[in-house]
Amino acid sequence: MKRLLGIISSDKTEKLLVSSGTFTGLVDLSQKKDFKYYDWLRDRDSVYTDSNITSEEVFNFRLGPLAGANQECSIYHLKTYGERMLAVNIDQTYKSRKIEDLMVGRSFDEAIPLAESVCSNFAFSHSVAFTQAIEEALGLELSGYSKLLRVIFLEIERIYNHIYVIAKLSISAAQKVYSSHLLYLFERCISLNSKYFNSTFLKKIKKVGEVKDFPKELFLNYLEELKKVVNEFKKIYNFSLDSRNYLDRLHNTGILTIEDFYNTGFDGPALKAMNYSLDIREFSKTTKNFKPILEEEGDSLARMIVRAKEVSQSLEIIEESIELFQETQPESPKSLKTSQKRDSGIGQSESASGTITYYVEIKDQKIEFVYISTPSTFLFRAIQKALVGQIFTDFPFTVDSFGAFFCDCAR
Amino acid sequence: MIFYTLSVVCFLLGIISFFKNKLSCIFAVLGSVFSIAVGILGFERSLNILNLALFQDVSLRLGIDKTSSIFLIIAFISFGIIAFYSIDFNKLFSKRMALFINISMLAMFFVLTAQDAISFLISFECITIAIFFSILERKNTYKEAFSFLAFSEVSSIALFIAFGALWAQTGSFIIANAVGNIVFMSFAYLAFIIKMDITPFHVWISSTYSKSPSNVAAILSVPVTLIGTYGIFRIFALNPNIEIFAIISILLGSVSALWGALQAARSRSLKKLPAYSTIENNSMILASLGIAYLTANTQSLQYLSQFAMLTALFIIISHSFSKTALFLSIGHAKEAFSEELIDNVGGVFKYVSKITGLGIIIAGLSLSAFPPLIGFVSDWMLLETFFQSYKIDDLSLKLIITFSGILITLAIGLSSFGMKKLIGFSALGTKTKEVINIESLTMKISEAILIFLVIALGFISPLIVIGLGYPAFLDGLLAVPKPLLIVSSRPIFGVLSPTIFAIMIFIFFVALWKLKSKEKDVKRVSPWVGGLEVLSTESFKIGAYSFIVESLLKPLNQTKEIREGDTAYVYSIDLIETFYSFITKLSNKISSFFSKTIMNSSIHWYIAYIIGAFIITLMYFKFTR
Amino acid sequence: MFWPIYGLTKKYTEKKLNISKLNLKQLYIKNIFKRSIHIFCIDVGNDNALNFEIFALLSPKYNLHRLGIFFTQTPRKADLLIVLGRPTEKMVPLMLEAINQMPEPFGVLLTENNDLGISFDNFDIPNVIGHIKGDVSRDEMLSYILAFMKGDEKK
Repeated sequence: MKRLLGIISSDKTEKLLVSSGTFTGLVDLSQKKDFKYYDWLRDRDSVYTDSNITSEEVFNFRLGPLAGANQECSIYHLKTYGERMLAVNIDQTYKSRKIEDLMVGRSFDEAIPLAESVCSNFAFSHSVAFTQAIEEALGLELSGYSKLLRVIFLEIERIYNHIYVIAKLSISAAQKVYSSHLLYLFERCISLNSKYFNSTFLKKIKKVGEVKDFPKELFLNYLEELKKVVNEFKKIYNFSLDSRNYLDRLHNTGILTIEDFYNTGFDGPALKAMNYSLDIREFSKTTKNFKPILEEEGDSLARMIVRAKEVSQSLEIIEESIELFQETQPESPKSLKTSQKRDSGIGQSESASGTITYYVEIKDQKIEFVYISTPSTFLFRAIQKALVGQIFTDFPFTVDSFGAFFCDCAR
Repeated sequence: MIFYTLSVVCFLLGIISFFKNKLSCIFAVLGSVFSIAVGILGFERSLNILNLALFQDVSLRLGIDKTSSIFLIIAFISFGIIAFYSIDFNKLFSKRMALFINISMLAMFFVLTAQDAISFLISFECITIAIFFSILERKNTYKEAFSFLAFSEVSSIALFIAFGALWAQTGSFIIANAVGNIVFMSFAYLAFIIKMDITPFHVWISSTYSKSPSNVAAILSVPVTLIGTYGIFRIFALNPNIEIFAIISILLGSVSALWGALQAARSRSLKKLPAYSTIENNSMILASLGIAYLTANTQSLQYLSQFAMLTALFIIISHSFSKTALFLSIGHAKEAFSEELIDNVGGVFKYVSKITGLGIIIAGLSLSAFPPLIGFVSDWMLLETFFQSYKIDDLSLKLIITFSGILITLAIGLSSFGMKKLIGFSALGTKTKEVINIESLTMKISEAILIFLVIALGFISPLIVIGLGYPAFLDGLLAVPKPLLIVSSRPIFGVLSPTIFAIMIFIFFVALWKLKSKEKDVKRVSPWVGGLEVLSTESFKIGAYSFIVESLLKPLNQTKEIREGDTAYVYSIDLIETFYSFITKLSNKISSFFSKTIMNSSIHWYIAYIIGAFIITLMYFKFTR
Repeated sequence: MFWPIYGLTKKYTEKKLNISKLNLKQLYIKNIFKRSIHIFCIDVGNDNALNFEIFALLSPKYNLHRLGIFFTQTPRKADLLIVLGRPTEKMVPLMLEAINQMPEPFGVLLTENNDLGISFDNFDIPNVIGHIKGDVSRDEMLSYILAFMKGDEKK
């Protein structure tokens, strides 16, 4: 299983950024025939066009840009003759802030906030991937202490994002009591963030070569609070599984198949719900015993279950890491022995919705070229495929189950 | 008698002067005015116009009694307005049109006054032929015209058999003698429900109505189906004791009403929708007549029986005027845009003419039972009739009527769904095409008269109740003075006062209007659709409105969603149509088989056939004697 | 028969009497909870932080309905417009159109948490009740909303 993450065209030559789990790197253009979505990915900043149906009965149902159904400013063009969605075109260009262009020519410290504001709820993942790319380019390796901190914060981010997605799903399915509970837990999570780490969305924590240090007792206190939240979540999640009404709405909606993966190249919980995983934590040395959670159905319910199970898994990882963390001491990053200071690097991190990849070229402590590959770019393509053929009622259950964000997609 | 002669003379003059369209149409209008006068006089006391003995036992008899005069008045009001409308509308067609309209009016006049089988049949056929030719006035309508002819002729054959049975029993052709003749009753019943377009016999109407000129479609929908209704009234009156026909009528009527309403909710064509609505209304008439004659023989249910009869008459009135208004307005809109589909005639009210748009709105609202219009009164009465089924003692009958009532209620709901579609997309929709200018003064006037009739008849419906001779169903209650309240039974079961309703609505409307005109500094902005302007490709289409019906009732509509490359559409048909097309195919196959195998001009087969036929005939006579 | 009119007159006079007896201060505090406000939030290109803040504001912790605060999906029924983030180039006309469609009187609350997008200084936005910069928190937004409901000037 390999994915095409991006097409990099600096220096007037095109190269493919490819990932296959253990290997992530640039390969020659000649491999492009392996990827069916090469043409679309080249054109990823324009409107996602599925098909232009022209028939007397078919009309375009436009949802957006400022509609209540999608929180963010973007348009779903739903082609329909009533009820059934025949084709879906997604216009994400309203959200485009051209962050890659803005980064060029900036120093590292200036560029990190930009990376963080690609998508604030994935702020830490973005900053990790970005700084990792720079660290690779500079030939730095993080200390074990910093690596542990990185893992902890990544999992904290994952927990609140997963609860957010499940809360959104439950709101769409009109489960008032359940969604109120989840909203409370979600709010609690981000309140804890700002209480303990001074930033609601874990911004300004990751820097090049280090992670901002906090007292060790702070983490223990935080863990106590987080445990309460996650246990509460587990309890009400198990309650929710008794509601046939709720599960019926998610079951068999937005089904994806492996063929859709070959056509779009998405990953994250959407791929795990189809019994495949490209989770980079599996191959990382810091999280040795990691086993991805898999489901088989490939529908909205499976995606929801994967997320719910990942919440408890993340808590276990945090517990483990904090235990280890109590014994390690802070060190400064060490330079790699074998490095011959390259001026380009690739950084990756596993966000709540999939792998974020940065390709960075630097020159004189300044950024010369950035390519950001975000999970939502692929997920919206998958949403397009999943929506076609369904009726309007299933629209929110399908879209919300992916956890894709337009700011992540349009950058 | 004078008026009778005058109207016949007027129609004849109209026929003679057909080359001068305007003159001919004016004669037709005059003729209908005299016919209405005949009807009014005939309502007072029965008249015998003509009694001409042809042979010893065969005589032609023309005369008017109460039933025929009611039908005369209703049919010729709508006929007269259609004729007036045709003055301008016929300019779009050839001059023969006026001829056909006059012939059909004359024949209709004779049908409603005929008292013997021969004159009835002759005039019946005349209408069929005149309308057949007038359908052909539009090009490429052979198929539709022939399907109309086929169904009409089936109805004629059934009538022939019925009259044959009449002759066999009584030795005369006087219709009034057919008391208790079950064969006559069965075949005449069949003939007239075919004429009323009741469900299994309705398949021709959708294509024929939509292809024929609008005034002809209006004639087909109102006066021609009135013949069927008239016939059913007559034969029921002759044999009120045969319960089985009443039960069949209730069941058939309710099923057919639901079917018609369903098809109307599904259809996307401008004229198919009112065509299916015609089926629904005629079925309602049949169902209420069924109740009227089912309960006629029970002494304790006399009020219910009379109320059901009144209901049938009210539905006839409401159907006649609302449907004529709808067809004429739609015809106007259709010619102004020269389009077939509801989607493509948006903005009739704004761009074609206010009166035409209002015609579609008022007629559509009346047919979807909007108070206080005449359609609302008649639908209320129908439901009241069905609600009273608990009074019938027999449990099985009670169940049948309750079941039929459910179907009828569904039909009323679905028909308002369909009408809303028609009003919303055509009269009030957005413009999609440039309007063609046509001369339309008389068209507008006749639409205006019909709008006035639909509103006014609802308002004066207590007066109609008195006029039809049922003053027992009027009362006063609380603040409503005596004759303004229609009651559905004695002791009082349900009450309604359309007049007070209309007055209250008028007062509220004026008050609202006054309040609205006071607000002067109102911020006016374009509609908010996600913040962007709405493009023409983004507007809701008629198919999307109907799709919910098609999708939910997949097996009934044979819905198929078809996707071919870049085009996608929904395909659905009337299930009964598939049955007929199967029969058509079968008969084609059989006839081709026979023409190839037996009648292939081979002399051997021919000789074998003649010898075979000879032997069979011989055997038949041998064994039957 | 005339009881409605009778009842109406009765109530009307009672109400009049009550107003003169009421303590003004009491009325003032009650007023916050009595009044209700409908808010239309538009995302014009923020980095999702502000969307999440608004989402968290819906949590039972705040219980906004208790304060008479409701969210609506169209500017035509809204009393307060919250603009989340600085607008991107494509969203500028849409933001201005939303402000144009608000019924009068209305308020606009501007929020921004980074330098991306076009600055609000470039537009002449009417009725601005507040302009929050930096790390925008939901508590701060809520305080602005409540101040707007009270009729306080908070800038």
